Amino acid sequence: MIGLARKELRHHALPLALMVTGMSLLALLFFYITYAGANRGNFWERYPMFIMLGSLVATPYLCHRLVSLEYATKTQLFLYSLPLRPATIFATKWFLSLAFLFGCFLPSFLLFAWGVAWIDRMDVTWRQLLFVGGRCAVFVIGFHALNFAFAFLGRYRLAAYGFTALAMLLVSNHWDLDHNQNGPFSLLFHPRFAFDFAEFPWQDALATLAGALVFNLISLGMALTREGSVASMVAIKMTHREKVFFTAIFISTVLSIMLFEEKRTRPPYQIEDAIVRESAGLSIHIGRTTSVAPGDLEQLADWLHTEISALQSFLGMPFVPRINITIRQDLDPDKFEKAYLVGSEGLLVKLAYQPDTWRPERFLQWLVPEILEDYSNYRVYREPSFWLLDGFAPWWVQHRLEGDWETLFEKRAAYAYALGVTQADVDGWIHFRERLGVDLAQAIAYQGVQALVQRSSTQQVEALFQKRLGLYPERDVRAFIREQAHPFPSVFQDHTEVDYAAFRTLWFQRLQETHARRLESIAAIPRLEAEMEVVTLSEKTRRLRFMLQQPQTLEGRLRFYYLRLPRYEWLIDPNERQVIEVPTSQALTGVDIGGTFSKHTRFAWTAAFYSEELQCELLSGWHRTEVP
Amino acid sequence: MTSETRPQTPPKPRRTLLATKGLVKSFGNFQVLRKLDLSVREGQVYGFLGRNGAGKTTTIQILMGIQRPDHGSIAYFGEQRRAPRVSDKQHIGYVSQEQFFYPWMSCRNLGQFVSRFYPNWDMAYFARLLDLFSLPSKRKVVNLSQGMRVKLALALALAHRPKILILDEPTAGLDPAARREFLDIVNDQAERDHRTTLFSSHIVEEVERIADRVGILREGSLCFQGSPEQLALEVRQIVLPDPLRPDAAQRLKALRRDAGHAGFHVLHENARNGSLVMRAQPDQWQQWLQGRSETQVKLSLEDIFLALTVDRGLRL
Repeated sequence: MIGLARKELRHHALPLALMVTGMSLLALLFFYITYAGANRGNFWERYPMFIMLGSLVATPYLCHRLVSLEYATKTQLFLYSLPLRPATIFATKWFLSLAFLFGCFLPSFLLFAWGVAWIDRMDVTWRQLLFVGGRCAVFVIGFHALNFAFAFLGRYRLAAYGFTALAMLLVSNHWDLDHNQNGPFSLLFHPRFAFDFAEFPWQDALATLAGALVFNLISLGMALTREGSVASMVAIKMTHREKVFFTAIFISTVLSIMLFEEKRTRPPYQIEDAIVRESAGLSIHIGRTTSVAPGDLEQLADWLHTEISALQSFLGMPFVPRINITIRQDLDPDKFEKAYLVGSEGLLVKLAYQPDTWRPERFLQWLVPEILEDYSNYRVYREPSFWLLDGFAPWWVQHRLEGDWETLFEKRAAYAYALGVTQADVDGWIHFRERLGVDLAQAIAYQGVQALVQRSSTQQVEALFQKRLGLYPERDVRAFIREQAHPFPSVFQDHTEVDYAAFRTLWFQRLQETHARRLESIAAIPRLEAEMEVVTLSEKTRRLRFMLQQPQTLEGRLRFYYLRLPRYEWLIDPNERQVIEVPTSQALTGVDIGGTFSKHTRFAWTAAFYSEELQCELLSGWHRTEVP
Repeated sequence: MTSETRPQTPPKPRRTLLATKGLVKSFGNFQVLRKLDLSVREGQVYGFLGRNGAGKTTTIQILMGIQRPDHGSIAYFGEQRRAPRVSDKQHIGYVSQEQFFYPWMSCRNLGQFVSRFYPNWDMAYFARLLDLFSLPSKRKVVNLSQGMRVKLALALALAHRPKILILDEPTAGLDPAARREFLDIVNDQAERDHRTTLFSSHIVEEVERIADRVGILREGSLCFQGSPEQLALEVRQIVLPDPLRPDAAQRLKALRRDAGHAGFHVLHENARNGSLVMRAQPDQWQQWLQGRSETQVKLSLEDIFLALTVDRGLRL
């Protein structure tokens, strides 16, 4: 065994030395990124990513060098002819590859432990080292076992990797199984990896080790049975025909998964003892509550069913996402909340409902875009026609409900225009929406719809709505391909016979005219300016204060919305935001946010003031910042 | 075969060093070995003959433990096993048909690597063998010619002074000069050290030069195992007197019928020159030939090999 090990070391000395060097450099890079990076807790937080990346690079390469290469060059036949047991050859290679892997990771482990102790100034205990090291070691053993077995597959190992990835994807999709929460990946990517040193994840570790045992037994089986012509057959390179075959299988499997995903429907969200209104492709469920008389809820259900049926019929939608409503009287009367349903289909809306104060136009204006977003599988967020959805909601309200909404929408548009609207905002609609708020953005978009109706015709604009908002988009790559094949400007021109660029000029001319016409009525509406102050408590700890800057004479109550932005996240999730409401007099002197914040925490905030004149909230604009 | 090329007095066969019993091996539906019984005795040079695909390499790979038999057993140095143990292989020298050495190793490195697995390895002897075979010890395997690699394989196989040397068509792919040189070395080893040798080949001339016992493999089993002399006594050609006479065909038919009745196995019939190649035990031959007018023609080992292994339609 020693002789064989010495041969392996001599044989692979240079590549292995280069690999160890590369891994050490990678560890240093990760260490530096962690040190210099934003929003870091402690050094252990980035270590799992290094282990994952390092394993992905080092393990297949090591197994290729020690196993696949032996079979590819047929030198295993020479080894088998020597007085050596095949099991000894297997064990030597297995131990060496695993020892090398641990050898690659050990320096990085010590480096990161040093970082935790000397830079983070945390107490590094033996228990902590055992927990972190144990989690990583078990993962490495499991990943090594998989790769070692695959290395014996010779020419078929690449296909095996592809199919394993696909299988994981399929399992994850079909059973809604998050791999990061289960088994080997949970060992590394559990959110408590860097902090939880109280309870070792024995269940995940044992599952990983059991999997490793299975793969190692498979490897041993292949090592003992692969011989002679079988070895030669498996070891040689894939022919072009085989490559084409496996590529075709791979692509068709991916497409099958996509189609499967398209067909897959989650169970609908259930509300017990709900008031139900159903028709073809439409289902509305309203949860009963003691705070509202059943008759009133029945009335609400009837009205909603009528309105959404009309929307479904107008846009030609084969179905509408199921609408579930729960009454929450603790909410503001004209604030509506959508809950995200992970395992169920449809929308869950929370609202406060009192028949005497109910404002149907506000609810409809809020609900219609939500329905269409869900219906489009949230593709509207990514499309350049997002503004059309925002323009459609007020147009539909105007179309369906009695009342003089026109004046209100014009005032909102004039106010928003005065804050500054550019052509670039149309392309980056989602940021524009965040900056002004949904109500003002809808008013601007509605001006665009009106300009289009004026230039084209009502029928043509309706056809555009139906084509763009009513068509059910596929839940896979076909939606992207369709978007590329039929870009919005050409669809726009086909249906309205108006050039998209010319329309945008018309739109802004109309905004200008509206602004001029409504200038007087919006003169008294305040423009908010606010700032965030940072109070340094220690080297790493901060406290935050919001302060209203302008206008100094504002009276009423001011809200500050804020949220911590998760890593890599840029969308502001309405359900995540928190609110502080104070009198404007207090806001002018400054409002402390409770709690403390780490340096480099990603943070988003805005000030908001409800304008009676515009019947909506005015925002100072969402700011994304990093706590300095 | 000539008396010059035949080994002079071979040592008297002693105990059996290597024997197979009922060896069966299949690849899928194709049965390569069908109850193969083979035995190699101490001091013998055993010529293992067979056509391409007859199963020679499979047999040897099974003997070396590279492949496993489906059925049957093997006796290594008198001990019955299904596969050789490490201790058995430490007494076997093996030269394979193709050499799959590590190309980055030099001849000396390769010797040092292999030496760790053989307790009886003699490094000085290995160096002498390299010298004897004109192999530069520092040259890397990748830079060796095919002939040099085979000689290196032989040096590796001999350096631990094995009890038995197994050569699996080692001369395949060598030019005539290299082949002759290699055979001389093997012959010399066998004569001087009385090394038991199992030499597999489909080239009869090679085996004829060095073997004192042959086994002829046909379709997975041995159709003959014994000394070349015994083979020559068993397989003979009979030619009709005056084979051009018009009744030659009838006479050949009658001869064949007679031979069949006497228990002869007709391997080949040639109506054109009025001859039969037949196989029988020497005493049967002796009895049958008494008082007959047909002429006996002595066959070479190659002729006998062809008669035993080639389909009857093929003309000799």
